[in-house]
Amino acid sequence: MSDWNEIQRLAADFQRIQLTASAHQLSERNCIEIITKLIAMNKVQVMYTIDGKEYLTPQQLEREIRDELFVHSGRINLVELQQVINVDLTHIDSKVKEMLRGDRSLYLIQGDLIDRDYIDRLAEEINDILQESGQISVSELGKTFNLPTDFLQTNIEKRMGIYIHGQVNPLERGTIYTEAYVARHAAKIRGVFSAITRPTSVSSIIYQYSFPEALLHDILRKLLDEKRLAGSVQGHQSKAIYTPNIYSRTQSNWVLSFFRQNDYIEYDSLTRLDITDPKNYLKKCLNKNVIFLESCVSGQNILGQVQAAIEDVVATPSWVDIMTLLPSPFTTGDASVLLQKHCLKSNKNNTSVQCLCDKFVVSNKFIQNCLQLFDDHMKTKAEKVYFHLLFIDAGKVAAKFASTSSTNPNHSTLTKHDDSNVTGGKKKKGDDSTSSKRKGKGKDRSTPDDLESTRSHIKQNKQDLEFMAIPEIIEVLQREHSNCEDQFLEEIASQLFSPLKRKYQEVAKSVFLASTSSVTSEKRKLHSDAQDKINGLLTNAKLFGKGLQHFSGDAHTTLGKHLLHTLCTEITNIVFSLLISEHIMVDSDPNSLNPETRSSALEKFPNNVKKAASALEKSLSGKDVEQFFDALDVVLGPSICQIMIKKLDKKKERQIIFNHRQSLIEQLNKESKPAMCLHLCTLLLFQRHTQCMIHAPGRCIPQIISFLKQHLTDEQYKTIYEYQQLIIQSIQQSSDKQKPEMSEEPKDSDNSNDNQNIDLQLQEKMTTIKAIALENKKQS
Amino acid sequence: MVDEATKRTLAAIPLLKTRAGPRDKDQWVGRLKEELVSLIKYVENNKKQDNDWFRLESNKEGTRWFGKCWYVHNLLKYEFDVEFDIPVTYPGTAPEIALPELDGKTAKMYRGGKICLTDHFKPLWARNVPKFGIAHAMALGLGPWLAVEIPDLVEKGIIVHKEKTSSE
Repeated sequence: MSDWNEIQRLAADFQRIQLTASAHQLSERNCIEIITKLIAMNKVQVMYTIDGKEYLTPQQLEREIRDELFVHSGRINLVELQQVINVDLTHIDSKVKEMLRGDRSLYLIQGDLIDRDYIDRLAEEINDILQESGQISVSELGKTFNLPTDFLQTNIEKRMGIYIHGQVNPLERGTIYTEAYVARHAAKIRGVFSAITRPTSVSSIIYQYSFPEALLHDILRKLLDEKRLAGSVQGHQSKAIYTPNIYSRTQSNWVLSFFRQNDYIEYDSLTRLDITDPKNYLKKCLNKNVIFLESCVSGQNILGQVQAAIEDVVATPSWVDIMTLLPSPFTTGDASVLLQKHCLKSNKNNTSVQCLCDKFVVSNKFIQNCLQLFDDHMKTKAEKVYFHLLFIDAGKVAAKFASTSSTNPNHSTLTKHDDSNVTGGKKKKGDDSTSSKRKGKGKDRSTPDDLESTRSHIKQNKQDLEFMAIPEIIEVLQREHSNCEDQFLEEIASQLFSPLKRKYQEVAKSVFLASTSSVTSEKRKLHSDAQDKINGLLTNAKLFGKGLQHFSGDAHTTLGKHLLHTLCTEITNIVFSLLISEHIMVDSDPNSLNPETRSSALEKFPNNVKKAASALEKSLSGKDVEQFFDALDVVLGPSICQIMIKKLDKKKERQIIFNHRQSLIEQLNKESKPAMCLHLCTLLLFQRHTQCMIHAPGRCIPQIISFLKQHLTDEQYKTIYEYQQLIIQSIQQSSDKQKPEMSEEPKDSDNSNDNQNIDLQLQEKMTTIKAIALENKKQS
Repeated sequence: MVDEATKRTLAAIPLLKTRAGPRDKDQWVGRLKEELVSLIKYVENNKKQDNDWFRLESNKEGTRWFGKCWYVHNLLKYEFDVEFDIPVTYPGTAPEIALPELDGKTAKMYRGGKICLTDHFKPLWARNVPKFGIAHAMALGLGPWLAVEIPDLVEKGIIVHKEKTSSE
C-alpha cells in the first residue's frame, strides 16, 4: 500500500509541478533587445554603465552621486565621480546640472561638485588662517584651495561674522582683515598723518611705513571725514597727495598778503609754492575784481593807474609807455592784454587813442602833430627832386608824371598796396635801403620808358616817389621828440610812412604837373614828325620798288642797291634817331647818322629793340628791297617804335605818282645841265610808259633807255640815243681833261674844240629831248 | 531523424528501468513510480525552459491518462484535449496518444483521434524498451506532431482559434 501511497504522492507532486507557473525566462539577447525597444519607445529611462553590463535609473545615479559626494567630504571632481560610478560623463554632467538646479546647497566650480558643508568647513579653516596672520588676500586663498577668487569672495562675505571673524575692505575686496589688524593700522596711520605738515605723496608714506595700500586709503578717508585729520587728499590711489590744512592755509595767507601789498601776483611765484594750476587757484582764492593777464594777475589799482595815464594822454596830445606804470614783473604781453582787453575796450576814448608795440599808448592827435612836422620837408624835397630829375632828363620825367597822372584810377589801389607793405613794420626797414638805392640808380640809368608802355613801370615809379625812408623819418622825429624811445619812434615812423608817402606823391604830382606839360607835347611832336616822314619816304620807296620789277638781272640789282642806299638809308636813319632819343636819351640828327654811329647805337639798345634794329641795319647792306621792307615792318611795329604806317590804296598811289611826275616836269623845265636833263627825261618817259615810278642813278640811264626802246618811235629813240652818246662823250672828255693834266698840250686844243662842239650839240638837242619827254606826257 | 533540440530534451528526461505493464501488479507500481518521476523531471525541465506545453493526469491505477496539450502559433494558443491508455503490453508497445477533437480533420491520424507517429518513433521506442516512458512518448511523439500539424491545420482553416482559450 505504501507503494500506492507513494504513487499517489508522486501523482500529486506531478500535478503540483504542472500547475506551478512556468519560469518565464528570457535570454540575455532578448532582454537587451526589449530594453532598447523600451528606451526607444520612451517607456523606461535608464543609462548604461561604461562597461555596458549594468543599467542605472536616473534616480539611482543621483543617489550614487550624493553618496560619493558625501564620501569625499563635500567636494568631488566630476571626472573622479565618473570613474567611481562608471557611467558616461555626459550623464553625470547632465544629472549634476539637474541637481544644481534643484538644490541650492550644491555648487559646481571648475569641474568640482561642492556642497555647502564643504564651504562651511572651508570658511572655518580660512578663519583659522586669518586669526593667525591678521590679514589674508582672497586670491592667495584661491590658490591654496584651488578655487576661483570670485566664488571664494562671495562665499566669504556671506560667512563673514559667522564663521570668519574679520572684515573685508569695501574698496579693495581682495583682502580680509581682522578687527585688531585694522585697528592697529588705523592708529599708526592716524599718527603718521597727524605729523605731516607739508604736501606729501601718499605712496611715499605707504612705502616708508609699509601700510597695506587699500586699507590705508580707506582709513585715511574715514579719518578725514571724521575731521580727525585736518587736511585733504588730491588725486587717486597711487598719485594721491595729502595736503595738511595747515600747509594750504599758510600758502593762501602768503598769496593773499602778497596780493594785498602789491596789487598783483605772478603765476610763477605760485608755481614756486607748488600750486600746480595757479589760475584756478587764484580764481578760488581772490575775489572776482582781478584781471587775469598772461603771466600774472593784476588788481584794480594798477588798472586804475593805467586808465588814468591813458586819459592823461588823450587830454594832452602825447604818449605814454605803460611799462613804466606797471610793476617790474609784468611782461609786454601782460601790458598788451591789459591794454587791449581792459583799458581800451572799456574806455570810450579808444577811438582817439592807439596802442603801439603792445605797450605805448598814443593819442591820435599826437600822430597828427607828427605828420604836420613833415609838411615843410615835403615841399622842399619835392621841388629839389624835381629839379634834380629835370636836369638829367626832362623828357623822361615828363613821361613818368604824365603816366602817373593818366593812371589816376590805379592810384588808390597802388597806394593801398604800399600801405600793406608799411604795416609790416620792421620788415619794411630792410626794404627801404634797397628801394632808396634803386631810386638813386634810376636817375642815372635812364630806364627804358616808352610813353605807352609805362603802365608796367608804374610801380617802379611809385617807389621812386617815396618821400623818406623810415630811418629818415625817425631822424626827423628824434629831432622834435628827443626824449622818446627808439622803439616808439620806429613804430610812429612806420605808422607815418604811408600817409606821408601818399601826401608826398600828391605834392610831387602837383609840382610836376605844373611844370612839365610843355616837355610832353614836344616829345609827342617829335614822334609824330618822325612818323610822317617815315610814312612819306616809305610810300615812295614802295612805289620805286614796284618800278623796279620792270627790270631784271644787273639792272635790277643796281637799281635795288641804289634804292637801298638812298631812300631806305634815309628811313633807317630816322628810325634810329627816334630809337636813340627814346632809349639812350640823346638827341641825334637823322642826317648825321652813318653806319658806324648806327652800329654803336645798336649796342646800347635794349635787347628786343636791338634785335629788330640790327636786322634792319643788315638789310640795308643787302640787295633785296623786300627784305628791307620786312625788317622795317618789325621795327616800326607796336612793340618798338609804335609808328603807324598808312596803307597804300590805288587812289593815293596814283596821286603820288602824279605828284612825282609833276615835280619831275618842273625840275626838267628848270634844268639846264644836259646830263641831268637826259636823266629826268628818261625817268619821265619810263613813268609814262610803265605807270611806275623809278628811282635810278645816272649810271643806269643807258639800261633804262634800252628798256624804253620798245615803247618809243624809232625817231624818238634815235634822238635820245644820240643825245646819250653825246653826253657820254662829253663826260669822257671832261674826265680825260682832268686826268692827264700835264700830258700833251697840242691835243688840248682839239679836245676843247670837240668839247665845245659837243656842248653845243647838247644844248641844241636839249630842247628836243625835253619836247619828247613833255610831248609824251601830253599824249598820256 | 530527431532534431537537435528534441535530442537534448530527451537526454534531460531520466530513463526508466522497470520493465512492467499494468498487469504486473507490484512491478507496475514500481514502473508507475518511475514514470511519474520522469514526467515530473520533464515538466520541471520544460517549465525551466519556459516550454510548458501540456497537462496530464491519470486514473488511480495509472492505466489511463488524460489532460490537455497546447501549441502556440502566431502568438495564439491552440489547446486540445489529449488522452491515451497504457497498453497491456506496455512498455513493449508504445501508448497511442489521441487528440479526439481533431478526429477526422487531418490525414495523419487514426480513427478515434490517435495520432500517426513518424516512422522513426516505433523503432526508436522498440530499441529503448524499457528505458522510454510516457514522458519520452510525449516529447518524441506528440511534441513534434503538434509542431508539424497545427500550423498546417491553422493555415488550412481547419482549426480556428477559440476566443475562450486565448483569454485564459
